[in-house]
Amino acid sequence: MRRIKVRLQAQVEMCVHRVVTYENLASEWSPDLRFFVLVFSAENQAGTEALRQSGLANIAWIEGKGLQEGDIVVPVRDKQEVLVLLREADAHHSLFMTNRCNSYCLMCSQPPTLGDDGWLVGEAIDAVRHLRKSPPVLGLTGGEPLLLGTGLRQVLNAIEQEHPTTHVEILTNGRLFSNRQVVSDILDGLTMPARWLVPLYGHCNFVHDFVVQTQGAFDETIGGLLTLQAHGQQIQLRIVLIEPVLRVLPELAAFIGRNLPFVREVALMGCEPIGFALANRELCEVNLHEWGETLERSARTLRRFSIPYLFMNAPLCALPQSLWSDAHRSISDWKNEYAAECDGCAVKESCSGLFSWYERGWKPAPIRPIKQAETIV
Amino acid sequence: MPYIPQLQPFQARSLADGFIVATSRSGDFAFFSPSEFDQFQSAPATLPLEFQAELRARFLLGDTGPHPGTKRLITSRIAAKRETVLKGPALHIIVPTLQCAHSCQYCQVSRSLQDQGHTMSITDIEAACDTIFESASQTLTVEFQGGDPLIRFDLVKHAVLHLQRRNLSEQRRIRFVVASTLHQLDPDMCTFFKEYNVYLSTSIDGPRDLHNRNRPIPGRDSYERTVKGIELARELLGHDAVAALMTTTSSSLADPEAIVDEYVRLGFKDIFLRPLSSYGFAKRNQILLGYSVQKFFDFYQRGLKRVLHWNSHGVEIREVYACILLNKMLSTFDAGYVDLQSPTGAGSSVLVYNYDGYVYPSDEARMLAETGDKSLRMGRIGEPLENLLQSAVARSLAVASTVENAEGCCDCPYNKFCGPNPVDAQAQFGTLFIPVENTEHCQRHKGLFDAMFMEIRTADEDLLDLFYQWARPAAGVRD
Amino acid sequence: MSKFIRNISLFIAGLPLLATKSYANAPSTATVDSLSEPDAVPLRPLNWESDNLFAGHRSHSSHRSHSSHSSHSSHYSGSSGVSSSAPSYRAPVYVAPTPAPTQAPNSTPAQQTSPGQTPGVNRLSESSNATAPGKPQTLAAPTTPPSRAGLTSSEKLRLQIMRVQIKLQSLGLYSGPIDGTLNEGTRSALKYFQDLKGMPKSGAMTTPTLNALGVPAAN
Repeated sequence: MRRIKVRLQAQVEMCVHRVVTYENLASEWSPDLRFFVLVFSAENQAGTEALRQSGLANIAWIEGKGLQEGDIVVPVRDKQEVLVLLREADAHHSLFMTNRCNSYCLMCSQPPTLGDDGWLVGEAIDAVRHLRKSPPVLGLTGGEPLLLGTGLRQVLNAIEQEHPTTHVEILTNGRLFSNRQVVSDILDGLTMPARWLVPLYGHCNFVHDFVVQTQGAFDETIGGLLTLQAHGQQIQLRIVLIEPVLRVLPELAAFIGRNLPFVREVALMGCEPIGFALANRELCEVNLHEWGETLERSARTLRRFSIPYLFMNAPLCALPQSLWSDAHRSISDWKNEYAAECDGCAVKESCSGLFSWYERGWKPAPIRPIKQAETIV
Repeated sequence: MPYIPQLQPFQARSLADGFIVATSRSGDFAFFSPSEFDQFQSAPATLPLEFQAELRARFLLGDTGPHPGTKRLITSRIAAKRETVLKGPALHIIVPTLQCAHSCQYCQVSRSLQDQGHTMSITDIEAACDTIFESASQTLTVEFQGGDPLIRFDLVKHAVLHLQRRNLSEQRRIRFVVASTLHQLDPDMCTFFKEYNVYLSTSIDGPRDLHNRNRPIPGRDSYERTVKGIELARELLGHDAVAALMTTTSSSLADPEAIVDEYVRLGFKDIFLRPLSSYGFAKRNQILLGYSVQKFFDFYQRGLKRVLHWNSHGVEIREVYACILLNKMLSTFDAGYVDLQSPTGAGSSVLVYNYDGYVYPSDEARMLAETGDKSLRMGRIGEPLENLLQSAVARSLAVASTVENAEGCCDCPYNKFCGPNPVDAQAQFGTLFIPVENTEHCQRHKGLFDAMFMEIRTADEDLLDLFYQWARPAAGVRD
Repeated sequence: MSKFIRNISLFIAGLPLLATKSYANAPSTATVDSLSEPDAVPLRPLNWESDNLFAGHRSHSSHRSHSSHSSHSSHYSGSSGVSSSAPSYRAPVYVAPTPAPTQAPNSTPAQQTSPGQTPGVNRLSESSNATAPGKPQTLAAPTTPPSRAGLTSSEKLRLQIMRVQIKLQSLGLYSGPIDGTLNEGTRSALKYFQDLKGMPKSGAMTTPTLNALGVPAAN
């Protein structure tokens, strides 16, 4: 989430607002939303204050270079800053559901905390209401969204109501579907376009449980996947490419092929060098070059079982060339960057680049520009 | 203490290459060296961790204590293999006539062209068609056999039209197949076949000389006339509208490569290296035509090798027997092959409506009746389907072919893929109930599965790709 | 920070994992009964035409080869961090808003002042991680606004007039209350605007007038 320095009218409410220009306020205004009017002049600032005096309690002026029209923002307490929850121009949109989690993955990029942050549900619903343009895809992340129970369903319902054409993707370990109540709260009668993104890190319990540092997680996740399939829900499996996973990857691919052929696709993902991954560096930092053959063998196995797959968070120079067509530009807009070495790379346009914090962490493999000659097959 | 590996139910067998193959409840398999196998049985926790993980992933090892997710997965895997068994009968064979111009040495059934007495009545044809729709299966295959059904094309046409008419309201997916030498095929028949999406299946035993020797007709030109029929069919119905099968005689045994090459030459995408059914008229000629299980086995291995050779040179041709075996071994999903089902597909997934007015459980069963053994008649054409499926014959067949009942099957690792063939046993021994190890069916399949598993254990990545492709259930739509 | 067990053999041996369970906060109600026989789940991909399978035995038509994989969609990455710097847990300050009341002129617009004063419920947080102890954090039921589709025609008209009033005021042509009524001041402002634009000075919200103002009809 972007954090932007701003100047704000005094005494604004600590809740979701939509950023609107002064010129467009009239056409967008509605009594049930809240607006920050983006002003660039003293005149417009005064005009906004006047409108407020005339009876519009739900507007306030805001000034900030990094803001864009349509931004869905929430002010940060005691600071002249706002968090941008959603930005129209982004390629990827997601809402944060909770920072609590019931697993403890070695490479977790969002280390969980204990606090009850149930208020995030209301904030998410509000953001959905304030969003002007329906994004093609909207992600729900965390932490573990299933911990919200009915709160998650409320968010899903809000999206279905306000943005019926939007596809939702929910990032979850699926473990709580072992609880009948959770299944009925969240899945009963769920017909909106949704896809569940479920991590699977091993072909047997001790491998997967080790990676998520929780006994019993594998069995619960498998049960959760079957429950989703029984409810006609779409699934994407997510596999983060850290060392203990890479060691078993071809076997994991075969396990998926034999047992979970109903998944829509498998996402093989470079590890984000952040959060717990930094604490477990010797297990999480890998040079993908050294695993090229493993990646190729695993991809081949998935093809054998007709399971679609793609690579994410992996720059092209880190992958064997035979897999370039399976790689995706996937790092969130606010997180990605290119290294100095990327200048002059012939395939930069099709590449995901790197996580912007690679400098403090590590690169997925030595970065090198691809020469034009290499791309001619 | 968590993660202590426990043995899960399995069956195992020693292979000729020194390894042991074991299969679990889900139908997954693993290979062991003899010492690994000992370790697996007595002290699985001492196996290397990677191997333990693989064995867990194949449900050969597991844990005590509740693990509902894994339990549900295994249940689902077992169910996925049984889809064909659970549907209603999906394959319906209609034998409108036994008339045929050939006097093939291995054929039990056909009668001369002058013989009018071995032909189905119109009443029975229509009754058979109506019975077909009593099946619960949404997908139906209706196959015409004989004799040579095209000699009585009028009866085939009558049946197809009757079925299509009823299907306007039934809305099932129906595939039609006519098994014929194609000697009678003409453009008018092709027009009809094109309109009703009828596939053709013919016999090519091998190169011309072998074919004509196996399948004599007065003009000694069976091969040439069949090839002409194939060409006509392809021209008017499309290249893949015709498939071919062969029958293996002792003459065939000498040169399997030539047979495969002939199929490649004729542009077929499939070849089925079929063994000879050991009954009926052919029994009289056993000495002439018969061969041992081992002899067929050697023939088959060479033939398969030749097919693989062609594939490695870019020719896409499949060996159908291998496809059936590989589907059982490698695919999570049942491809709908009624052979090798347990309980047997005969009389449950397949029904044969014979010219003589009776319903039989399989092709082989109606051929058996021609030799005098009519014990496998299920009932008369026109009886309700439910009665036929609940008949004494049907029930005996089911009991005789359930792997859980059959001694000799319970301990066999291939019992997830295979099952006894009681119709075969009836032909070979005169009884449905026989210890399976004595049957040709069991001996042959043990050998074939053994061979396939040994191939898989040592297959390179390209060959594995091919095997998995062959193992897939077919899309089943005409291009 | 809680400990990780970084060696898989030690993990398997079952060394107690510290503090993993406490993150659950999961509903502890009945789990799926593990003793009963589970229902098989169909494993076929949901878009697979299972009716494509024709029963086969000896006679086969040619098989069609299956399409290879397709890689597509899902273009968003693993998880979103809270901020672009070191991840930190954001203190809960969010308060569900009530819909903005439209005020009669001269009265002070209602405002949510101190965070945490949600209407009604006032509960202490259970977490030890709140930055401001004692601040009630509740999930106030999000107020459901009238969905725009559900507005009555008089509500729609009112909204339209308010939007016109906002525009006129921002153009400096109107200084009265934004109240959704076509009062004297609004009408004369409209006339002034229409005059500027060379339109008939009706003082009414005609379609050309609305278009010129850039205010869509409220529907």
